[in-house]
Amino acid sequence: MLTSIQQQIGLAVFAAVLIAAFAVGRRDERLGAAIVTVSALATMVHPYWEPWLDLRLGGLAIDGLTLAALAWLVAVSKLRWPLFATAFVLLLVLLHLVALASPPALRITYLDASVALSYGALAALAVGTWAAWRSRRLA
Amino acid sequence: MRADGGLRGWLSAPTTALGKLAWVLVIAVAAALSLAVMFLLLSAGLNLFDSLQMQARAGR
Repeated sequence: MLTSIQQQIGLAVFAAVLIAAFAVGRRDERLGAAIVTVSALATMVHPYWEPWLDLRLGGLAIDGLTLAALAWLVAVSKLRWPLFATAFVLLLVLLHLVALASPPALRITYLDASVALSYGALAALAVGTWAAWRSRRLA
Repeated sequence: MRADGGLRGWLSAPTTALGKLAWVLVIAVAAALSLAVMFLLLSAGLNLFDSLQMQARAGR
Protein backbone atom coordinates (compact mmCIF):
# COMPACT_ATOMS: atom_id res chain seq x y z
CA MET A 1 0.00 0.00 0.00
CA LEU A 2 1.34 3.45 -1.04
CA THR A 3 4.66 1.98 -2.12
CA SER A 4 5.16 4.08 -5.26
CA ILE A 5 5.79 7.82 -5.52
CA GLN A 6 2.70 8.18 -7.76
CA GLN A 7 0.47 6.71 -5.03
CA GLN A 8 2.02 8.98 -2.39
CA ILE A 9 1.55 12.09 -4.58
CA GLY A 10 -2.02 10.96 -5.35
CA LEU A 11 -2.81 10.62 -1.63
CA ALA A 12 -1.29 14.05 -0.93
CA VAL A 13 -3.43 15.65 -3.69
CA PHE A 14 -6.57 13.89 -2.38
CA ALA A 15 -5.82 14.99 1.20
CA ALA A 16 -5.11 18.61 0.14
CA VAL A 17 -8.38 18.91 -1.81
CA LEU A 18 -10.44 17.30 0.96
CA ILE A 19 -8.88 19.45 3.71
CA ALA A 20 -9.48 22.59 1.60
CA ALA A 21 -13.10 21.54 0.93
CA PHE A 22 -13.77 21.02 4.65
CA ALA A 23 -11.93 24.21 5.61
CA VAL A 24 -13.22 26.78 3.08
CA GLY A 25 -16.10 25.01 1.29
CA ARG A 26 -19.80 25.76 1.61
CA ARG A 27 -22.28 23.16 2.88
CA ASP A 28 -22.32 21.36 -0.49
CA GLU A 29 -18.51 21.18 -0.77
CA ARG A 30 -18.35 19.76 2.77
CA LEU A 31 -21.01 17.16 1.95
CA GLY A 32 -19.13 16.27 -1.25
CA ALA A 33 -15.85 16.02 0.65
CA ALA A 34 -17.48 13.72 3.23
CA ILE A 35 -18.81 11.46 0.44
CA VAL A 36 -15.40 11.36 -1.31
CA THR A 37 -13.59 10.71 2.00
CA VAL A 38 -15.79 7.73 2.91
CA SER A 39 -15.54 6.38 -0.65
CA ALA A 40 -11.73 6.79 -0.80
CA LEU A 41 -11.24 5.13 2.61
CA ALA A 42 -13.51 2.22 1.62
CA THR A 43 -11.60 1.86 -1.69
CA MET A 44 -8.28 1.76 0.19
CA VAL A 45 -9.51 -0.80 2.73
CA HIS A 46 -11.64 -3.12 0.59
CA PRO A 47 -8.74 -5.15 -0.99
CA TYR A 48 -8.13 -6.53 2.52
CA TRP A 49 -11.60 -8.12 2.45
CA GLU A 50 -10.73 -9.94 -0.78
CA PRO A 51 -11.04 -13.54 0.46
CA TRP A 52 -14.67 -12.76 1.32
CA LEU A 53 -15.46 -10.17 -1.31
CA ASP A 54 -14.49 -10.13 -4.99
CA LEU A 55 -12.29 -7.09 -5.66
CA ARG A 56 -14.30 -5.89 -8.67
CA LEU A 57 -17.67 -6.45 -6.96
CA GLY A 58 -16.40 -4.51 -3.94
CA GLY A 59 -15.28 -1.64 -6.17
CA LEU A 60 -18.64 -1.67 -7.94
CA ALA A 61 -20.53 -1.60 -4.61
CA ILE A 62 -18.43 1.29 -3.24
CA ASP A 63 -18.68 3.39 -6.40
CA GLY A 64 -22.38 2.53 -6.77
CA LEU A 65 -23.05 3.87 -3.26
CA THR A 66 -20.86 6.92 -4.01
CA LEU A 67 -22.91 7.54 -7.17
CA ALA A 68 -26.15 7.31 -5.17
CA ALA A 69 -24.82 9.78 -2.58
CA LEU A 70 -23.62 12.22 -5.27
CA ALA A 71 -26.95 11.91 -7.12
CA TRP A 72 -28.66 12.95 -3.89
CA LEU A 73 -26.23 15.91 -3.63
CA VAL A 74 -27.06 16.89 -7.24
CA ALA A 75 -30.78 16.79 -6.36
CA VAL A 76 -30.44 19.07 -3.31
CA SER A 77 -27.67 21.38 -4.60
CA LYS A 78 -27.96 24.43 -6.81
CA LEU A 79 -24.25 24.33 -7.69
CA ARG A 80 -22.78 22.96 -10.88
CA TRP A 81 -19.70 21.05 -9.72
CA PRO A 82 -21.73 18.08 -8.29
CA LEU A 83 -23.02 17.48 -11.86
CA PHE A 84 -19.41 16.97 -13.03
CA ALA A 85 -18.44 14.79 -10.05
CA THR A 86 -21.55 12.63 -10.57
CA ALA A 87 -20.82 12.26 -14.30
CA PHE A 88 -17.28 11.00 -13.56
CA VAL A 89 -18.52 8.54 -10.91
CA LEU A 90 -21.28 7.37 -13.29
CA LEU A 91 -18.55 6.51 -15.82
CA LEU A 92 -16.60 4.77 -13.05
CA VAL A 93 -19.62 2.57 -12.26
CA LEU A 94 -20.10 1.79 -15.98
CA LEU A 95 -16.39 0.92 -16.17
CA HIS A 96 -16.78 -1.53 -13.25
CA LEU A 97 -19.73 -3.16 -15.05
CA VAL A 98 -17.71 -3.48 -18.28
CA ALA A 99 -14.72 -4.87 -16.34
CA LEU A 100 -16.94 -7.52 -14.75
CA ALA A 101 -17.79 -8.79 -18.23
CA SER A 102 -14.38 -8.27 -19.87
CA PRO A 103 -11.31 -10.51 -20.05
CA PRO A 104 -8.45 -9.94 -17.54
CA ALA A 105 -6.34 -8.53 -20.39
CA LEU A 106 -8.20 -5.24 -19.96
CA ARG A 107 -7.16 -4.95 -16.32
CA ILE A 108 -4.40 -2.33 -16.78
CA THR A 109 -6.63 -0.05 -18.86
CA TYR A 110 -9.40 -0.55 -16.30
CA LEU A 111 -7.13 0.57 -13.46
CA ASP A 112 -5.74 3.55 -15.43
CA ALA A 113 -9.23 4.68 -16.41
CA SER A 114 -10.47 4.23 -12.79
CA VAL A 115 -7.68 6.48 -11.49
CA ALA A 116 -8.30 9.08 -14.23
CA LEU A 117 -12.05 9.17 -13.46
CA SER A 118 -11.44 9.42 -9.69
CA TYR A 119 -9.23 12.45 -10.33
CA GLY A 120 -12.01 13.89 -12.52
CA ALA A 121 -14.48 13.71 -9.61
CA LEU A 122 -11.85 15.18 -7.26
CA ALA A 123 -11.14 18.00 -9.72
CA ALA A 124 -14.86 18.89 -9.74
CA LEU A 125 -14.79 19.14 -5.93
CA ALA A 126 -11.60 21.23 -6.11
CA VAL A 127 -13.21 23.68 -8.55
CA GLY A 128 -16.27 23.98 -6.26
CA THR A 129 -14.00 24.64 -3.27
CA TRP A 130 -12.03 27.25 -5.23
CA ALA A 131 -15.30 28.96 -6.26
CA ALA A 132 -16.47 29.00 -2.61
CA TRP A 133 -13.16 30.48 -1.46
CA ARG A 134 -13.26 33.11 -4.23
CA SER A 135 -16.86 34.16 -3.55
CA ARG A 136 -16.09 34.44 0.19
CA ARG A 137 -13.02 36.55 -0.59
CA LEU A 138 -14.95 38.85 -2.91
CA ALA A 139 -17.88 39.21 -0.49
CA MET B 1 -35.60 25.34 -16.39
CA ARG B 2 -35.02 28.85 -15.12
CA ALA B 3 -37.82 31.36 -14.99
CA ASP B 4 -36.17 33.46 -17.73
CA GLY B 5 -36.22 30.36 -19.99
CA GLY B 6 -34.29 29.84 -23.22
CA LEU B 7 -31.18 27.82 -23.93
CA ARG B 8 -28.88 30.24 -22.12
CA GLY B 9 -30.88 30.10 -18.92
CA TRP B 10 -31.09 26.33 -19.10
CA LEU B 11 -27.34 26.00 -19.64
CA SER B 12 -26.38 28.37 -16.84
CA ALA B 13 -28.22 26.61 -14.03
CA PRO B 14 -30.23 23.43 -14.44
CA THR B 15 -32.78 23.41 -11.64
CA THR B 16 -35.14 20.63 -12.69
CA ALA B 17 -34.35 16.94 -12.19
CA LEU B 18 -34.51 16.39 -15.97
CA GLY B 19 -32.15 19.31 -16.65
CA LYS B 20 -29.65 18.00 -14.09
CA LEU B 21 -29.85 14.47 -15.50
CA ALA B 22 -29.25 15.82 -19.03
CA TRP B 23 -26.19 17.75 -17.80
CA VAL B 24 -24.77 14.67 -16.05
CA LEU B 25 -25.24 12.53 -19.19
CA VAL B 26 -23.72 15.12 -21.53
CA ILE B 27 -20.68 15.57 -19.25
CA ALA B 28 -20.30 11.76 -18.92
CA VAL B 29 -20.35 11.28 -22.70
CA ALA B 30 -17.83 14.12 -23.21
CA ALA B 31 -15.54 12.70 -20.50
CA ALA B 32 -15.79 9.17 -21.98
CA LEU B 33 -14.88 10.46 -25.44
CA SER B 34 -11.97 12.49 -24.04
CA LEU B 35 -10.67 9.44 -22.14
CA ALA B 36 -11.02 7.25 -25.24
CA VAL B 37 -9.07 9.75 -27.37
CA MET B 38 -6.42 10.05 -24.64
CA PHE B 39 -5.97 6.27 -24.47
CA LEU B 40 -5.88 5.98 -28.26
CA LEU B 41 -3.19 8.67 -28.54
CA LEU B 42 -1.22 7.08 -25.70
CA SER B 43 -1.48 3.66 -27.33
CA ALA B 44 -0.47 5.05 -30.75
CA GLY B 45 2.48 6.87 -29.15
CA LEU B 46 3.66 3.73 -27.39
CA ASN B 47 3.33 1.67 -30.60
CA LEU B 48 5.34 4.30 -32.51
CA PHE B 49 7.99 4.29 -29.80
CA ASP B 50 8.20 0.47 -29.96
CA SER B 51 8.52 0.42 -33.76
CA LEU B 52 11.20 3.14 -33.72
CA GLN B 53 13.11 1.20 -31.10
CA MET B 54 12.88 -1.99 -33.20
CA GLN B 55 14.08 -0.11 -36.31
CA ALA B 56 17.01 1.31 -34.36
CA ARG B 57 17.91 -2.18 -33.14
CA ALA B 58 17.67 -3.63 -36.68
CA GLY B 59 19.86 -0.84 -38.08
CA ARG B 60 22.63 -1.49 -35.60
